[in-house]
Parts: sequence; C-alpha cells; structure tokens
Amino acid sequence: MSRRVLGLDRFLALLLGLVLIALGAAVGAWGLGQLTRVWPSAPGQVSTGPVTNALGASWWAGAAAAGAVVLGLLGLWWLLAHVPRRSTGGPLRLSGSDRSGALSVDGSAAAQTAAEVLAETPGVRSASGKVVSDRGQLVAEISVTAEPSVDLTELAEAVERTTADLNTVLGRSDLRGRVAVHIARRERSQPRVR
Amino acid sequence: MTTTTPGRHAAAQGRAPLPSAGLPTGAGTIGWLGPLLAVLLVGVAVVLGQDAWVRLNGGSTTWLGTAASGLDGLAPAPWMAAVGVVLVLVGLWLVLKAFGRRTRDALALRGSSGAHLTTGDVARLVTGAANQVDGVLDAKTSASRRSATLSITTTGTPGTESQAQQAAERALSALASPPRVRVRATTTGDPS
Repeated sequence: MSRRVLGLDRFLALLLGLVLIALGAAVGAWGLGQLTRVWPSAPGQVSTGPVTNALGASWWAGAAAAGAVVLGLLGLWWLLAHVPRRSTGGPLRLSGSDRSGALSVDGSAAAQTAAEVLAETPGVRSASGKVVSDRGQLVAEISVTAEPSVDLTELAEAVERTTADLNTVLGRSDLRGRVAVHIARRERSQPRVR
Repeated sequence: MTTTTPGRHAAAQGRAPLPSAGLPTGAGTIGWLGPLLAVLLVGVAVVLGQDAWVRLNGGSTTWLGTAASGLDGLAPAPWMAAVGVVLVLVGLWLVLKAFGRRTRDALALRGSSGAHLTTGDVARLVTGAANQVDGVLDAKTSASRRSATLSITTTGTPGTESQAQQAAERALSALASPPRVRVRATTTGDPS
C-alpha cells in the first residue's frame, strides 16, 4: 500500500470522525432540548419536506445517477488502490554495461539461488527469494521457514554469508536486502542421522 | 546479446552483505479502516444509484425517499442522547485511529543483512527451545518486541524453570535486541 493512499485513508477517517462528533453532539443536545442554547432558532421537530420535494424534482434522477457513477468509481478506485502493487524488476542491468554490450542478470533467479543455499542450513525447512521493486527501492526479498529448534546464531551467520554472496553476484549499489525468518509451528520429525 | 564477465566485478565488489531495506511495519487499524471507508463510499453510490434507477423507470418508492419520510415529524426525545453519545464515541475513535501509529512487530537479527523475525516467530522459537529442556511437559509463549513470557508445565524437577529460562535466552541471543524472558512454571497436578 502506498503512503499516499494511507495518507488519504487517515485524512478521510479524520474528516468522517469530526463530522460524526459534530452530528452526535447536535443530535444528543437536540434530543435533550438543549440545542436552543447554542442555536436559538433550532426547529422543534424534523421536517424533511424540502428534501422530499428535491427528491421528486425532475432534475434529481439525473443528478443522482451522475453522483452514483462518480462516487462509485471513486470508491472502487480507492478500494483498488489498497491492493499492493509490487513489480518484479525484470532483468537487472549490471555495472560495467557500456555501448559494447549490456550486462544483465535475472535478479529473482539469483535471489532464488541464494534462498536455496540458505535452505541447506541445518534447521531450515524451506526458503524462497525474489527481487521486487518496493516503494521505489530495489529489494531482494528472501523468505526462510525454520524449525522451532533452529540455532538462530548459525542462521544469522548463514544469512550474512549468503546475502554477501548475492551482493557480489548482483553488484548493484542500489539493491537492498530483506530476509524474513518464519518459525514453523511444529517441529518436523527428521532422521536422526544424516 | 547479453554477455557476462564473472570474476572481475565480483572481486572488485568485495563481500559486504546486502544493506538492509529496513524492518517492515504494519499499517495498524487504518490498514483495514481505509478499505472499509471505501466500501462505505461505494455503498453511498449504490443508494444514489437505486434512487436514480427507480425514478428514471417511473417509480417513486426509493430507499432515500423512505428514509426521508420516516424522519419527517421526528420530535426531540431523550433516547436521542444515547444515539448522540454513540455517534460522538465512533467519531472520537475514528479521529484517534486517523492519528494512530503504524504497528511494528519485527525484531532484527544481529548483523547488517536486514533479517528479521516477527513477535509470533519469537514466541514459537522460545516455545521450541523450552520444549527441548528436560522436565518440561508443555510450553506456551506470548511475545512482544520488549518481552517474552514463557508459561511451562513441568514434572517438578528442581531447576527446570531456570534451565528453560537459559534455553530461551540462548535461543534469542542472535537478535539485535532480544526481548526479556520471563518464565511462569506450573507443576503437573498443580491446582493453579
């Protein structure tokens, strides 16, 4: 989710919150007969006559249709904007590329290979990797699933080694790493001797 | 044609680990509140659309019309105070959530690689470490970024509690800032 959409969410939540507070205070005060203190000409009862007249007017149906289309499209756009959009970068251009030839590498394949190397670490059940473009950053994402009995120190060292290798292979100064370590709920029974 | 020259660039780059992309953060309540508000907006569009559809087809009984005539002639009543209070509370909650902080539940591993675990993973790790201690029959853990509470059921062998604590602390020692481990032990057959 982009920060801009999150900002819009916060702004509209704030706006709706303030409207509800004002409306709630007004309804509560009116119900108790106290609204006339701040608004002397407050009506004694609700009259929706003008609203009903407007609803019956000839222009209303067209306006309502237009409003429905506009608000519906806005709502759908707002809803869809929450779907995370992260592209896999495609081939990465490597340093050393010039007019005589372009050096490129499939970043996700390299990250997947790094993950497979990590999966060889004792106590690691599985691992997968890919390179994504996330909020303007090129990120090598590796996801590791380990047994509950994994030696975290050993795993941390293996991660350092493997990402250093990945860094060497890809050689891009703008590439960042993110390794998510997941711990499995239950130990998978393993052969005692390997 | 793509060419590669392995070795030369690799040697020049050295073997520094990848710089970290930073710990992931969750959006918190606003993460589901935003989509919910979007759905509400679509709901408003549906109400308007129903009104337009019925009126363009010659009808006159619409949701909006029914609501308007239902509200007509409403006089002040004490129960409206309760409605007002509920509306104000919902409004206050929305304002609070609009300013709410992002949730952080990731703990970094030591080193610069950007490896991290969530608090749930930390809890499972502590449980796994405690389960390997002799005398521990059952273990459950709840963890936050600052502390982990390990609840164990033991056979009653003396020292099991401290051994479980040490095992848990050892399991978390690779974290950049390990949460404090607290152990609550009960013995089998204990009434508590």
